[in-house]
Amino acid sequence: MNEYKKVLIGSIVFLAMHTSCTKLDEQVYSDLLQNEFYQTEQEIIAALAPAYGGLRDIESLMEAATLATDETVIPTRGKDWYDGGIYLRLHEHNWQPQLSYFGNIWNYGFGRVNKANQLLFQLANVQDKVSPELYSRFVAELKLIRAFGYYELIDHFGNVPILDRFDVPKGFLPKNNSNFEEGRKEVFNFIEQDILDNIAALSDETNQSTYGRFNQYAAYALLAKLYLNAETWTGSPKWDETIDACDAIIGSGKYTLESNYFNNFLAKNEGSKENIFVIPYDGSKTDWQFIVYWTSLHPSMKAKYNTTNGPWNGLCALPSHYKSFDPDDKRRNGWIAGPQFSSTGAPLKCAYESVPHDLNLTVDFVNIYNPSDPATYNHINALEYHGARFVKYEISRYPSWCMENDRVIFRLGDVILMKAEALMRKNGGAATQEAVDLVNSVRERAFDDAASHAYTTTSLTLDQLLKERAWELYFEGVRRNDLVRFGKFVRGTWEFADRSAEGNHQNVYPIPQSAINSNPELIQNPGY
Amino acid sequence: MRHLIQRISLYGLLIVVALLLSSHIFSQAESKTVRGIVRNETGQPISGVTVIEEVTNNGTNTDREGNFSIRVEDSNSTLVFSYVGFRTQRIVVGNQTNLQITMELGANELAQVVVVGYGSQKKKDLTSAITSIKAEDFNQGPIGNSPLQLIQGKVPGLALSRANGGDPSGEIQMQLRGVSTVKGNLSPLIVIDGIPGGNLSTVVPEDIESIDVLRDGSAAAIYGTRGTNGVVIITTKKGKVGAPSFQYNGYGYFEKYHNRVRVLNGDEWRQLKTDFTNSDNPILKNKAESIQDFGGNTDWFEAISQHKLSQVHSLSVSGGSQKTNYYASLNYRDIEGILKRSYNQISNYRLSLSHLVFNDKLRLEFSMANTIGKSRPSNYGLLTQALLRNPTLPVYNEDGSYYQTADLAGSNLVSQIYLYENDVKTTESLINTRATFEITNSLKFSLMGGLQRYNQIAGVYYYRNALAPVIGGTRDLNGEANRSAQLNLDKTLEATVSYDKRIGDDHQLSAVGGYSYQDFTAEGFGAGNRNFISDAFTYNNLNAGTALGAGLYRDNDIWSNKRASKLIAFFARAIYSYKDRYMLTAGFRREGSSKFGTDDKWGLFPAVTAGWRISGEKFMKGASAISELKLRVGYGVTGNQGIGEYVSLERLSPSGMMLYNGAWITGYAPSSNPNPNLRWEKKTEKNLGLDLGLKNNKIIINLDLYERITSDLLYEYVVPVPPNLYNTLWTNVGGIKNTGMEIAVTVNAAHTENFNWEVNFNASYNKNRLVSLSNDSYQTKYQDLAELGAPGLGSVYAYRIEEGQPIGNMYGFKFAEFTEDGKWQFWNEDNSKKITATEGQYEDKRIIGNGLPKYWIGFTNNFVYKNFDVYALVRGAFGFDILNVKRLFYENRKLIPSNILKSGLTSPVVDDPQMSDYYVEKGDYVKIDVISIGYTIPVKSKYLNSARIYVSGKNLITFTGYKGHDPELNINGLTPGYDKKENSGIDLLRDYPSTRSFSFGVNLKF
Repeated sequence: MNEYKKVLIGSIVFLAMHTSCTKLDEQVYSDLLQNEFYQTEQEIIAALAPAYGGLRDIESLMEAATLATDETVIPTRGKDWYDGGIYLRLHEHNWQPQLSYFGNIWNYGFGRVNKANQLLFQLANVQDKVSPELYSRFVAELKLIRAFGYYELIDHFGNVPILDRFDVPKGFLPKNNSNFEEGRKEVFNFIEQDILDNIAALSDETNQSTYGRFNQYAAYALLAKLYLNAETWTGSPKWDETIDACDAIIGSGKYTLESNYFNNFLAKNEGSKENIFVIPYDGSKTDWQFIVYWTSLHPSMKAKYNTTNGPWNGLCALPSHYKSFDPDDKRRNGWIAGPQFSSTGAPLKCAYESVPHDLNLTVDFVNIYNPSDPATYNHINALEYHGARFVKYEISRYPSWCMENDRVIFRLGDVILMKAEALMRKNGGAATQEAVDLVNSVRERAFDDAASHAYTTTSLTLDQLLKERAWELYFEGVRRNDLVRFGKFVRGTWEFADRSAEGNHQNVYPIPQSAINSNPELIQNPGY
Repeated sequence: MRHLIQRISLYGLLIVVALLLSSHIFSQAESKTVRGIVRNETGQPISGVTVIEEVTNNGTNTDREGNFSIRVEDSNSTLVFSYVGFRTQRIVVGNQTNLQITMELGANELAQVVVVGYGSQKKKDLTSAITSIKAEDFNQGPIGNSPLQLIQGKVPGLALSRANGGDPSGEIQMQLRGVSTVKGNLSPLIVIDGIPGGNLSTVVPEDIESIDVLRDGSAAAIYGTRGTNGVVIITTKKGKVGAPSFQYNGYGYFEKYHNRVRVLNGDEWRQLKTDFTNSDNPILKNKAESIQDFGGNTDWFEAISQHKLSQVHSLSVSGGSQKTNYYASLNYRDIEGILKRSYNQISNYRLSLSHLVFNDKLRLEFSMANTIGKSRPSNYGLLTQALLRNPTLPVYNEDGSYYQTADLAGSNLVSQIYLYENDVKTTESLINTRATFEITNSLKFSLMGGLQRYNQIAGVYYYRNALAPVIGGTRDLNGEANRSAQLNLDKTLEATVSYDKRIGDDHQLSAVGGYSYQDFTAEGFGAGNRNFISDAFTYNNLNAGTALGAGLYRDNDIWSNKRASKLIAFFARAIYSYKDRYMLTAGFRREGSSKFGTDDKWGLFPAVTAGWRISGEKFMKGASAISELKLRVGYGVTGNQGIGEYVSLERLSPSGMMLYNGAWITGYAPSSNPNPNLRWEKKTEKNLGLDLGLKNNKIIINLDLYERITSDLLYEYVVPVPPNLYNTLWTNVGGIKNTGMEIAVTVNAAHTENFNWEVNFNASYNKNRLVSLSNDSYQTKYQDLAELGAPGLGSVYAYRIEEGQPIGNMYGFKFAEFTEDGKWQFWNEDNSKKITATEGQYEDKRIIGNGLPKYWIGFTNNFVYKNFDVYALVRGAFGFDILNVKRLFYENRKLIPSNILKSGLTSPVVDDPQMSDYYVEKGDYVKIDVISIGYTIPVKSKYLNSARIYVSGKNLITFTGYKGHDPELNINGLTPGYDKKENSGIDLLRDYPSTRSFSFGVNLKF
């Protein structure tokens, strides 16, 4: 009996422990729980910040918008830059839905859409924590960020699912329209409506409080871009609407063209009067997000600019793009070619297969050190010094892995050219004097002798305007969109690849395989 | 100096403790000589029976007529008679001087006690697959610092791989019964003296008494949550009753890399320039100029490596009375790495006490182990750079300064060693206290408290004139210092009640029930600064740097963090045996982990096993050849919670900066997609086993078949971006199935007076299939892994996990041929057309190999001839492929002007590197891993009881068709057989060379 008594006591002790020692709540220390956040205005602003911060991840999209066009190429150089052929495939227009660039663009677009939807949802729950003015402005800005995400999605993929809310039921999978054309129209209308509904609630200031954020003019610029492509995307042109949106910016008088083209791209380009919407970067605060300096320049050029980290020798101008510039066109100086010197004037050296020659960047892909070389040089096989490099953005002593120039997304120069294009298209493709004046107003600063380089109503054709847009806007993320709108993207005739067998379906990219793999409801774009 | 003082004080402590404890035990008495004869049950004398006096460990063997003679301390001495196949006998000498001993046939091997977790069982009563290895059967030779090497090649189904070669700070990889989880914990649970989740680094190999491996799920289920990959139970040595017995073990060894990767030397490099200049291939001809000759001839690998003596010393004392006993040890290991200046120095002391009070009803046990370590980790990156660096570059200028070159070649490797400090100091303690109260003869209550504390402080300094390698060259640092500190504290409290009773002759019941509470916290802190005016401070004066003050702040310049988790469990198990023939075990563990979603924290892990000892049945009496036959079946469920903390919660973390009204503010965003429904990964396992003993158990065969099915697989699944915020989510979706077979054979091949030979062979087979990665909500057909990266293979993946396929598939093009000028030609999808890589589409790629070994073998031989003993371990793995990444990148003349493999000179490739089956090689290997030869010096001294010296070699010979360095590679995770690129975003093939070592050692007993 004694034995059982002991068991009993033991069990009681045991059970007592049972109730007190079964708590398994997680204790957080260096993490922040969502339900404890969004309590003060400062916290809510901090929560809003990633909606804008996420805009910075646009490098991949920017690359894809130029590498598939007549502007640039990342050739395979020696052992480097083959990378599974991703750059070659863009250049050759030989792509499949698996190409990583497509996933990156998709994630960028929907990342912005989702982020905005999430914050709109959360903001609605803590509306009382911020002033009504701030609240309505935040809501409007978030909707513009969402519209910007959708603008990139409609541009690259066309028919994508429309998602306007965050609190979807469990297991919900978004669908796109089974009819591509209809689907793209729906996306177009959604973007248009979002911009129109919210434009008035945005600030009309053009100062520090709206720098790097959507104010009314940035919204008009996005709207103008949408309308300019309306014919391509929906079949129904909206030239008057394009002109009105451009006029809302031009007529406001708040922006003026910089007399020096490169003022817009300085390391400290906050002072530009021409830039309407920029994505701000900082040399030490925003790592790895604006890296075209590294992508493009030759490693030896580190000694020219004295940056902390040396570049990687990739992206360069296609020879035809570089040569298309008028030699007097100062804008061509955004591409650098010829012999290179260090900051102290010493000749720079080659570093790979052309060691020990001096570094002399050539526009053409030829072997300058061995003219009898029988090899063919092109996008698959390039030497380390081939191609002019991108220096349009001023290079400063970048302390880390990010450029500190603010990336230009919309600027007045582009808006003026857009208006000119709309005027010409409205006029059956022929230039009006107004269009000519507009284009010349942008072009004149590029030449010392502007008058002799000015267009007339006869010299300014749509083809010429497309070229002008390349000279003015190279590597600003618009080239692919421009070529598609001008019908020159598929079967493009620029060098290094034969694209003549390409089908029209390649005017949009395929929906990335990674997205389809994880969401079987998505319907692939026609032709892919 | 400080180290020396520390060591002296440790030795001092040990001696004091030893004296205190032993003083009251010494009792002086007359020694005497005992003679006798040993016979078997039929009266035949047995030769070669081991006769050992307990306590003193004096021993002898019986001669051909079964006679022995031994000098014993006094009448209280106990003699132990043991002989294989017979039951061990203990005889108290008393007044006798002539003993007549009859040995009974028994299952010596099967009478061994096996630790099963919360209890122990005799081997013959086991009903699940458990391998128990005692100290005397451990692997011999230099063990380095991973105790697991003691059992490498000895446990069927337990694959151990020295994936980090001979790195003195490297760990050994473990995998039990295949890959049954992908992102949870990959290694078995380690239990040290009852504390689940113990760190192997708290135990030194010399202090281990036994290692028990719970292989199947029915055995591991008592440790429910973390038992999916099996359980390894380590029992440390405890005090033994008797006068203090001292033991010293010491050995030293030299390590040398073997079968090293051969790159071009300076002369071959110069020759290459001539060859390229005359080449017909325009690519090579153009490269001729880039082959620069700096006049030297440096073997860069040799320039950065060292060949130093490593040494291990351990001293232990054990003794005590019936009431109190103790074990204390001191251990010092100085393991030198292959890279210059790399080392790992460890001092460890351990004290374990046991004391009986309250009429011997209450046993108090206390043990404490402390490890003090100091190391300089190996910089694996240097090993890669040594392969690629121009061999004509000299190490030094004439004035003795480092020969540095332009940016791209990277900085001088030797300077990277000497212009860089990296000191890691650790202290680690494991304290364990247990009180066991015997309520009645059969009922016990036990309370155990354990504390495991890990403390680290590290310092890193790049000298002012050091050039740090970065992508695209080097950068000046102007002095960069970093410090970091880490403190991990694991607390364990366990209470158990156990009941053990034999009812009548036929019924044996033992039961255990208990509660377990574990609490884990980890906190860390680090800071750094740059721009120092002098190197004098190294990392000891962060304030002196000016970078932080100047606002040159980087993300990792200052940081701190803390995390915590808890595990709480209730468990019970009952073992019932009827007539020692029919055994039934049933048990469960109900365990909760704080890491899972609010409603899914608790899981239930039941197990049931049954055994039938057929050899005990009457109808088996006639089958005299079969001494033991037992059939076992088992079923058990185990879990896995090896994921990070807080994954289920909706957390916010700093996420990028925003320019807000002219100032940068830090944004906060959800850290990841939260998953409030995150729950246990579960694995159910069925095991069927057979134990067979033949010829008086001189041959023992254990056979096990298993099927393990993992469901609710924890993985970071790809989810659609709308509606999710991020494209990955930690959730439970897929499943894995493993089936396999294991066999272990132990044979006493010879046993005579002068010659004893034991053979142990084990083999295992495993088949693995990823059943699914999808459910209704989440669809993942496949996922590509292991991006090859620079140079030139960014966005190219080497592995693919795919539903319905085994884990470890390599994926790429199928090689067809080379064009005349060395360009790749691959086969297209249906092998109808030859294509270049650029022409190739995704459909043209395919599964081209699998890196997970299907078969493993281990083969041990133990010979004793007179005073000589020889130990040999042979092990191997078969049925897998290796992706030879070094060949892929560097057996290619297009990679000049980086150095290339010598085999690249004759390789036809002159093209960009490509992922194809051209570089997939058969990995099968057999290793003669250990050979150890010892000699026991016949000493009879008052102070010395026994002395043995030995020499041994490790990793001696590898038979393989694999062309690379060593086929013993990474076996865990989703990319097994990857030789051996770690993609850290930096162009490095990180590869610590596998080494061959030769050692000399002494064992002394006092």
